[in-house]
Amino acid sequence: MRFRGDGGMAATLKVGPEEKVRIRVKVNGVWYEREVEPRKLLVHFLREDLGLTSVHVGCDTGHCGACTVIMNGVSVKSCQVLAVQADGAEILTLEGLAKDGKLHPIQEAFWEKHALQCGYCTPGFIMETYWLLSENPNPTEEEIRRGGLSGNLCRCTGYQNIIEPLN
Amino acid sequence: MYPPKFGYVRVASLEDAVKVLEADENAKILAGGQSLMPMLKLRLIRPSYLIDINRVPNLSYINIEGDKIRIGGALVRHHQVEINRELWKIYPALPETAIQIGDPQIRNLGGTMAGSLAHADPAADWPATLIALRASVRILGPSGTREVPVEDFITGPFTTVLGRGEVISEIVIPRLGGTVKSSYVKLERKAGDFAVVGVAVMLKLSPPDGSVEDAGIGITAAGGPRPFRAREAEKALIGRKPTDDVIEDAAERAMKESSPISDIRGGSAEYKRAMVKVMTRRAIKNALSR
Ligand SMILES: Cc1cc2nc3c(=O)[nH]c(=O)nc-3n(C[C@H](O)[C@H](O)[C@H](O)COP(=O)(O)OP(=O)(O)OC[C@H]3O[C@@H](n4cnc5c(N)ncnc54)[C@H](O)[C@@H]3O)c2cc1C
Ligand code: FES
Ligand code: FES
Repeated sequence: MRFRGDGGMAATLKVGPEEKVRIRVKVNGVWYEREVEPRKLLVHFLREDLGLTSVHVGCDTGHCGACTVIMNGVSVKSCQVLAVQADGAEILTLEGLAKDGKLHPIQEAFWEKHALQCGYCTPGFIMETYWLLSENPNPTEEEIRRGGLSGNLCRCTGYQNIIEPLN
Repeated sequence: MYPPKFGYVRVASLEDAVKVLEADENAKILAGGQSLMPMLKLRLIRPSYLIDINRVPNLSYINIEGDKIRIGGALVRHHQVEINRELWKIYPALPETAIQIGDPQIRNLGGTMAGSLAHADPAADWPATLIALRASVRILGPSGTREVPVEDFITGPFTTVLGRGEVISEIVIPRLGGTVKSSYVKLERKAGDFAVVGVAVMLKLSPPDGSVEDAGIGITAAGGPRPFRAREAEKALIGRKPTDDVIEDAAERAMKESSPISDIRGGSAEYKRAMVKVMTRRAIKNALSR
């Protein structure tokens, strides 16, 4: 195993298929250092290595958005990213939204408007909403439906109640 | 699902990526990963190493020059094209294509134009638009660089002219002067899906009477094995005023030139052929309305 020597991320790196690589990732404000296989997906790193089980695996093929997290300020589907790619990155998951025991306004709104049934898709929807509002604080309904939340699937609600809290 | 085991190389330049690829034919470039990750998880590919180019500096520029646009360095994400205001003015078909690819998470930090071309999905959106705009692909390889028109770059489903050790370094789009209009329209079954049929149109109009001086039409998902340029449809427009009859004639010819295959993404070949006509008509009208 080889990795950066100076505490920052290495610009170059080579890890064999049987080797592990040490990565450093800031998740919900805390730096973590772990050894991972190159093939480990970010979603598995967050769930299994860090215990952040709000990050759900739905489809595992990049379609459903249940695994959405914020990476360096933009939303990504964490089943589509390798953990080693997140080396040096800042990540926000649903666990990082509530502050001092108080829910984030987006969480409040989802609760208020009952934007879920089984709840499986909810963390992904909330994280994507977080990104959408950071890009565009006042999206129109069209922007929410076509642009903002089109990468998140819900099998229960029929979407009406998920659009509600954003309005 | 877990990908198979592979090694990981993070390179500092495209030249270094070329070296690794030249030495190891089972290594693969990792750009946005939006096509690669699903293929790995489904075990459709088993690369020896992934060569991560995401930390190579200066690989995500859109340079707008007098006679060309350089989209380059292999890491221009779909989202970057989508939000470029200059491109909305010059060739709206470009951001219009970007905005119709997948969904925000796919476009954000992920999918790249170069990766989409290299992956060569027969229903990918970029090839249609880049063919209509007569773009070419700059390729960096062990023996230097070469440039290939996008039309010739994709040779079949998931196959391109890229040889051993070669990578896409830039996409070059010529800029025509004068009054130029463009549009990309896509028929999809649901938001974020691959195209049933996608048609891109570029029209250069001559100022006195508004007749078509030059035309480019690129079509995806309906060319059988690869995206294609609808030359007969282009000819039907050139030298004429784009009246409803002329547009209808061009759309009809595009349909005749197409050779879609029946598949689960888009339905029957017959349906897709009919849709080529409808989408070509819409793309032309949409471009003219700008
Ligand atoms: C849910 C979902 C929906 C999608 N919807 C659409 C859609 O509607 N329309 C559409 O067109 N696409 C769609 N895509 C595909 C998306 O556009 C991909 O981003 C794109 O096809 C590949 O780009 P990438 O940068 O992610 O490439 P990667 O996945 O990183 O790489 C793809 C292939 O290209 C090679 N490669 C990458 N860069 C280079 C380079 N510079 N030189 C040589 N080889 C290179 C890689 O080795 C690999 O073989 C979708 C993907 C997903 C997951
Ligand atoms: S689990 Fe990642 S998109 Fe469905
Ligand atoms: S609430 Fe069940 S999937 Fe959305």
